[in-house]
Amino acid sequence: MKGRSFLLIALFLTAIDLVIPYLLLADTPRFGASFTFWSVLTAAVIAWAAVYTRRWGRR
Amino acid sequence: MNAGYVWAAMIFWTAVAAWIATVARRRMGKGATEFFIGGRRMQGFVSGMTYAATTYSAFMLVGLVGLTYNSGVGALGFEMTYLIFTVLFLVVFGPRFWLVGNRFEHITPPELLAHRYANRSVAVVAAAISFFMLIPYSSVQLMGAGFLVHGLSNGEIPFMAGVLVMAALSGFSAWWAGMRSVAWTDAFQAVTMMITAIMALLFVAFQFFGSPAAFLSSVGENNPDLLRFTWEPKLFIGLTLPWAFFALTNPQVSQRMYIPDRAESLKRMILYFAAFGFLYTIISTLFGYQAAALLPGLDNPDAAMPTLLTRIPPALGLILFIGIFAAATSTLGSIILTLSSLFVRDIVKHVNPDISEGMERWLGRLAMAALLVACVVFAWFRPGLITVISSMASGGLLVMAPAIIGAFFWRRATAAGAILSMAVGGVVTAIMYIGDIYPFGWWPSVWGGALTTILFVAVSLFTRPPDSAGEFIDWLDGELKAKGFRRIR
Repeated sequence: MKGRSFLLIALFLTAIDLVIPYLLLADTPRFGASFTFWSVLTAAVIAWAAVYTRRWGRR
Repeated sequence: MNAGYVWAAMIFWTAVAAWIATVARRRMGKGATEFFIGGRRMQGFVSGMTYAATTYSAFMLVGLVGLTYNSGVGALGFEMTYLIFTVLFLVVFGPRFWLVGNRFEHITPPELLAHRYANRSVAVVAAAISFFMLIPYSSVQLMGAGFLVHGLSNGEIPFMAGVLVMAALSGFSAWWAGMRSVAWTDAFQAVTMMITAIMALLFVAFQFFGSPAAFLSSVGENNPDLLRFTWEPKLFIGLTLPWAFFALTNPQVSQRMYIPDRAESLKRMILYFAAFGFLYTIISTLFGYQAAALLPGLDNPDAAMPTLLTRIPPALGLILFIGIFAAATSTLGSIILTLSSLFVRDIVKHVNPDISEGMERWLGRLAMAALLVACVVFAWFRPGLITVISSMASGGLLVMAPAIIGAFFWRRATAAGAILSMAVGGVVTAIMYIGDIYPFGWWPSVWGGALTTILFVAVSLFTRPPDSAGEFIDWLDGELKAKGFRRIR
């Protein structure tokens, strides 16, 4: 991954990691709110890592 | 709980870990690389589990449980944010560390910095900051074990007994067979941590709530505030920022990017660790919700998990105790081994570059013994600043992030920029933590991180980068493509 792509992904993740819980979910007292959001976001990043790294070691 | 049971659990655990260390020693080859990083021959599962066991200390089942008990879902956000950025950093920097380490035979992360910046003093400064921040942090692991054993046995087992058993166990593992032993015991300990935590979580859910689903509904009904995100932004950012960069700035984990035997193993290390971290974070947070429902009104949130242990059958409580003990022991062993390698490779070799590899191993062992004694003495005094020390360790190490990122991505980055930013940033951040200085309510980690970045960029722009900087980055770019880490367009 090039430096610019890395920077853009890091900024995007930082933004949604903070903005969505604070602006949309903070006052919702359910597991379906912030708890699920962070869990799904993390699972999505792990899934992205699995896809991104799938060709490592195949050359 | 009966003190005899606790002693029996510790003795059993020590025997198992000692047996694993002994088997590991039979496979250990010669040389410093073999001792400190397992000869770069670790396979994916063991690499992933040692990464996980090193990262996840007793903080998870004690500190994070208490944080959730006290302040709700923000604790999950804090820990998941750490994991998100760790996965990202491992995907981006893992191949870079691994390729450079293999090619230039680096053993410690500061050696990589010294190479890139063509200046060995960069490594000395990075090593010094690591010592300053990680020795107190290691002592906190020991103190955690002491408090846990003391509390679980209702005061029958002295605090220092827990401290000494844990110091001896983690020290033996690292001393006996270096990284191979630490990695194998870590892998076993990580599996133990996960299995014991799942068992206890399910037991409490069925025993006290009827089922996991009933437990989740009861939180919504009885503790809805703990599902609201109530953390102030300054608190969330101040706590999360240093942990987001943990994978790069903490040498005990960044050194693990050197150990996989091939690219496939590096990939597996990242994915196994990520899966472990995801599950373990959710489990730890759910324990916090269980404790909030069953044990309301505790004065000390950190007592939530130890108190919960007394509410479950002794056999299960002991199993979970072993899981927590294992988590603390594996973190301590890894830190001690890494710091000993930093002492030998980045400080002693800076003074005398000609020492033999056999001497490096022995000096590493001596450093381990000295470090353990220092940690035990520190724990013995039981400083009342545990939280400050833990925060300072992560916040203080953050000052290395600009120099590490710049090493790989910025051709203009210079040794002067790296040294000044780390040294000044480290001192300022430590003073702010110790002096409890939070200007405008922002945490020292935020100020320290900003100051370090500004210094690194400004000083680099006014000084000359090494001639080899462009060559280093171009070579690495070519290797990433040649080894299949990056697609060729």
